[in-house]
Amino acid sequence: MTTTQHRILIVDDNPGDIELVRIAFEMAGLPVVIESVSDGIEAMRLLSTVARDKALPAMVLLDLNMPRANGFEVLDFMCVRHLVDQVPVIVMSTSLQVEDRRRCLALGARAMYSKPDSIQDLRQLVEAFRIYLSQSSVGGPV
Amino acid sequence: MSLRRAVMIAVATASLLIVGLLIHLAKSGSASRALDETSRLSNDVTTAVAELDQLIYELMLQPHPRPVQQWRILSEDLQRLFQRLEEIGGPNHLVERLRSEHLQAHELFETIVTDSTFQTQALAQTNTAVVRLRRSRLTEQLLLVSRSLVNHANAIHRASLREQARIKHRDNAITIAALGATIALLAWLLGYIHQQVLARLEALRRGAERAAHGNLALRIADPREDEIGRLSRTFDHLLSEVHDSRKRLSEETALRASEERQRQLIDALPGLVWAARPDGTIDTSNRSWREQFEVTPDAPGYDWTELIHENDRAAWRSAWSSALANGTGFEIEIRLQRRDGWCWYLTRVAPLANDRGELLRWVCKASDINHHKQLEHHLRNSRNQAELLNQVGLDLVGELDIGCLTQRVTDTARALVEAEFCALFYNTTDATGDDAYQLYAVSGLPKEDFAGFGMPHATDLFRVTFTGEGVVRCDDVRQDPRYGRSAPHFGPPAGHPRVVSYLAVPVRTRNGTIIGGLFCAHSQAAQFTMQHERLVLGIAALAATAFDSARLIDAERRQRRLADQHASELARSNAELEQFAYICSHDLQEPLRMVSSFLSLLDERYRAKLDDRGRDFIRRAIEGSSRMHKLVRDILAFSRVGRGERAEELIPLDEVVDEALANLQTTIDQAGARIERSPLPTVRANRLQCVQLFQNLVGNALKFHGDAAPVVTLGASHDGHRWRLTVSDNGIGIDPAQHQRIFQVFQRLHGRDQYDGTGIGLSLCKKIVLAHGGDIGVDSQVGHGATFWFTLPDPSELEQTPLSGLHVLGTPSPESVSEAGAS
Repeated sequence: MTTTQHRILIVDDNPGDIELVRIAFEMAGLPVVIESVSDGIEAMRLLSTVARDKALPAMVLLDLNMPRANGFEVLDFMCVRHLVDQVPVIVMSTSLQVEDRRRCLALGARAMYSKPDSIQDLRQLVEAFRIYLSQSSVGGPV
Repeated sequence: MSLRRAVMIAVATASLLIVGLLIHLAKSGSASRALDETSRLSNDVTTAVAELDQLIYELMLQPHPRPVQQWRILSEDLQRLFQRLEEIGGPNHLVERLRSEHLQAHELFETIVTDSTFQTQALAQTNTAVVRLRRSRLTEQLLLVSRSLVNHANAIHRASLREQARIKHRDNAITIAALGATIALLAWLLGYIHQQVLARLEALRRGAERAAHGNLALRIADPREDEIGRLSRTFDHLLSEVHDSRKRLSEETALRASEERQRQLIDALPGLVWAARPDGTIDTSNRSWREQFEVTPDAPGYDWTELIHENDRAAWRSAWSSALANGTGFEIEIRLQRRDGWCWYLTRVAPLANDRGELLRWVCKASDINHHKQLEHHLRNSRNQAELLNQVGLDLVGELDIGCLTQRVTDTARALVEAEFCALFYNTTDATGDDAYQLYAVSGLPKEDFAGFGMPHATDLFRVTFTGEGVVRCDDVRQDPRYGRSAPHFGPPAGHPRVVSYLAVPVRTRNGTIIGGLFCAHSQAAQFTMQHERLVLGIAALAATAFDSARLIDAERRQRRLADQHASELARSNAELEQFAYICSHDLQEPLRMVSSFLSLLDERYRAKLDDRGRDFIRRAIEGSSRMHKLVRDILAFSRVGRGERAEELIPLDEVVDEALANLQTTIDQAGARIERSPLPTVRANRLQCVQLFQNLVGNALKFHGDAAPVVTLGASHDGHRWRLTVSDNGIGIDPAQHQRIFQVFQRLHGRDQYDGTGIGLSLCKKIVLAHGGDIGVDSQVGHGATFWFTLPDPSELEQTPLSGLHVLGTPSPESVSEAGAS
């Protein structure tokens, strides 16, 4: 068990999903500080602030289907500002079609996952996130 | 050298010779005469000396003074003779001798005389003897001298004779030489003349003779530069002139003959023929002119072009003057006023030239083309009518608007029969097809002028047309018994245009219904012929057909519009449905996932705090949500087929099956199944959908197995233009009564406790196959396994005829692929 804590930004309009991810991290014994915003506009506002303060999160979990501005717009925003080079962006969506995958990768997303149906599957996914966190250059231990 | 000079030189030479000879002879004659005189003088001297001797003798005999006297006279004579001899050129030395000897003689004589004279008496008396002796000696001396004189005189005489003979010989020789030379000269001259004159003159004569006999082509061709040479050349020239003129003469004669023949010929020719001199003066016309026209073109003092129709005259004049200017012919159609009236002529004017290209004559020929013109007129009329008919036919075929159509028919009918006005009355129905009413079209009059008269009443005259009894054609309709017998107008209403010629034709459709009538009218009598009637009948038939087709097409259009409307509505509803299914499925997933996730969380965290029943509830809730999840995913996949982007490519089905089997590997292993494969073709299709198709079919085959381990066989065959692919199993089989039902969505044949599934798998397969332009089905009996088959187009044939109607296929998500639908 490491004592370092990573900051993670979750962009999702479903509070249940955010809660589930938090629990999954807890259960996996991965201490992280989770910030969350519920739509794309908020996400972009927050990201521009933290980018200016040089306080980028260690990872961004991004939903696609959101009110006001969707996940593609957020990705585009991050891509244009080269944030995707500094922060791994993981796209989590209910269903992913081939075109969506291609588009996300083109915009700089690190990986795409369908949202799991059970807490067990989610915990396995969190184990995978551990690798991205260890690779992340920003949002290190606080 | 000219002959003249040659002869002159020759003659001059001969004359010189002869003159020279004569001069010479004259000179030698005078010399001869001198010699003669010398000779004579010398003779005289001899004679005189002899006389002197005589005198001496006399004196001797008788001294007497007379002989002395005489002697002295003679001596003086001698002196003169000597003088003369000297003058005429006698031999000087001899003459000198003569002179000296005479002097001697004279002295001697004087001595003797002195003696004799003074002593004559004494002689006789005294000493006669002595005197005598002395005298004798003197006399003797004297005689000796005298002898010498005679000798010398004779010598002179002989010398002169000799000289004379020599001169004579020389003269003879010279004369002979000169004469010889002259003769030779004359002989040469003769030869020369023969050769240079006579022979050539002979040649000339012979040439002239032959020329006289007609050989005008011969030439003497004497190149010499003398008179005869020139004469010969002049002769040659003359001959060639004669030859040429003879030739010209014969040509002219021939021309005259041919002109005469021509004249006879053109008289014999049909049609009008006339001819003009190169300057355009007409000098010939043939018999037809004289027979058919009041005047002929060659009539003096008359402008024949007055015969040409005034509309054609200017054209003729300009063509004629330009022909005269350019020397080229032309062709023109003109009307000429014959005795029997105007007549069309096709007139050709051609220049006639000789072989040297010189214009000789203008020849004009005019053929009567009245008949042609009439034919042409008829032909043009017929062609115009045919064109009108053709055009109206074409227009009617294309025209669907009834109003335009009827107007067009009416206009054409009027144009064809040249009527003053035409009207077409016809029955029609409104859009609903219920209300029948009558409309009309008018040509030749403004439609408003006609509006006041309304529709034709069912008068006796009109009725026959609308009842279809036949065509009515009247030269004067007012004479028709049906005319003017019906109320209210008893004839045409007031203000109606005058109608005399009348032609009415029913418009009858193919099924025999009279839908209207076509009426043509003219204010003049007898305007409409049988031909017009036939034409209007044709137009009416065309119009009827056009009415029919316009109605048909109108109906068809209405139907097509309806069908199009339905189709677009259907397409919209389909699109909405698909969008709805997609959104539904997608949005249903979210809450469902929440349910299942939190249920699983509940199960994991609080399992220990629940009793068995609580755990069972949770399990059931998880199962339910899981099935719901599958359902939603399958519906999502189902709705995606036929949605999304076109993603077709050439794919080898072997690779597709590899992928499908890999996805099913766990199931295959669990069931202990055997998959028997054979090589599959390459098709043009959406890859993911094909994977799903095989995955679903093989998945089904694995799922519905009986007691035996499942054996799945994949196969392919070609039925001529499509691939037929089969997936066979040895499973439980399907009742043939259910074969249709299993491909319907949400249809299941088994309880969920027997075989799990959503009832979407096969319907998804069907949708995929149909979207690819194929077909799907099953051959099966219960308990004997099942063979699912589907067809896909052969891409090699698709290359040639691309399927435009092919639906664009979406792509399934990996999740939906991973689990095959079941029925």
